[in-house]
Amino acid sequence: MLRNKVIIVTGGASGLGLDISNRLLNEKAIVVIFDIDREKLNSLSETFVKYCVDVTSYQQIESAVSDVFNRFGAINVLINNAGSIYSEPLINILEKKNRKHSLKSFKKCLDINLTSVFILGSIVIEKMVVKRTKGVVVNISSISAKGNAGQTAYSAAKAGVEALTKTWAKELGIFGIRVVAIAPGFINTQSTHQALNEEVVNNIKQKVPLKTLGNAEDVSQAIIYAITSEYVNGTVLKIDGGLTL
Amino acid sequence: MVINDKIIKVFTLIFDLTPNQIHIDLTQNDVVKWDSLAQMQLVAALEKEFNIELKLDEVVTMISLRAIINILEKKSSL
Repeated sequence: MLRNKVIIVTGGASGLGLDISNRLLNEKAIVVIFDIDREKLNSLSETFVKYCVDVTSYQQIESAVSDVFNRFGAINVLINNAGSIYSEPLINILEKKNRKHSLKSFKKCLDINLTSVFILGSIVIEKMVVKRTKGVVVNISSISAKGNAGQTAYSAAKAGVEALTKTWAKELGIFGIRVVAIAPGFINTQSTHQALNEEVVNNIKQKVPLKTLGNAEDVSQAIIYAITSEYVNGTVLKIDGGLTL
Repeated sequence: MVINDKIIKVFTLIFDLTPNQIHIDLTQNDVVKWDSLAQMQLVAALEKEFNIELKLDEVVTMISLRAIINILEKKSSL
């Protein structure tokens, strides 16, 4: 079903992005990875089509997307996976000065996690509309979109991603373009273990009804489902083991 | 220039007009609901109704009923 479909995966050179990229490659898709990390891109198999780009740069993305479009004639799927977790409370009472959340870091977090989705979405979807491609956009959100103490900027960005998902789903359905969000909970990845110590991870496991962290392949499977299920549109698929129930 | 039933059907559906409000000199300025979002809906509806594909350079000129009929006449057996 995905054979020869042209699929862009942002942030696809590592972590969850790489897992989904490998999965799509197994399904015989043409996997185009957009990533800022040149070293990681270079370490990947040449079976991937690779672009070293910054997803917050409109100019770089416009140029790379045009190149993909000219090369393959169409873009069928966009997976907006690139992003970066950022934690900072609104007020840090332990600080004597500068207690308030930094405006600079708020804007940076929104740029990486939200504006990038807008940039990729608008540029790729224009190509889909022009070419009349019945495409799919999958936006990676997070359970933090519901609001997470200590993550003002990240929660706002991910809530914005879910709002874009629903708005685009309503606006673009007439062209046969579907937009879906995936909201992973705590997934057993290197970045989770880097961000959280073992005690916190064990506490989270106790709170999850399934008493375990998710795996990268649980998220990849949900993405494949979103791409291939033709009546799924505008929804947020939670992959969190029931944590947010 | 004739306004056929399919066009009346699309215009009543997209712009909430009654058939007697639809006349040959109708333009975007006359219809409150004819904004850029409605233009996308109009294009999709016309493509489906007439089984055609409109190019974006055609879409941008489709801001009056007369212009729309001109394009449809070229692209279909209107």
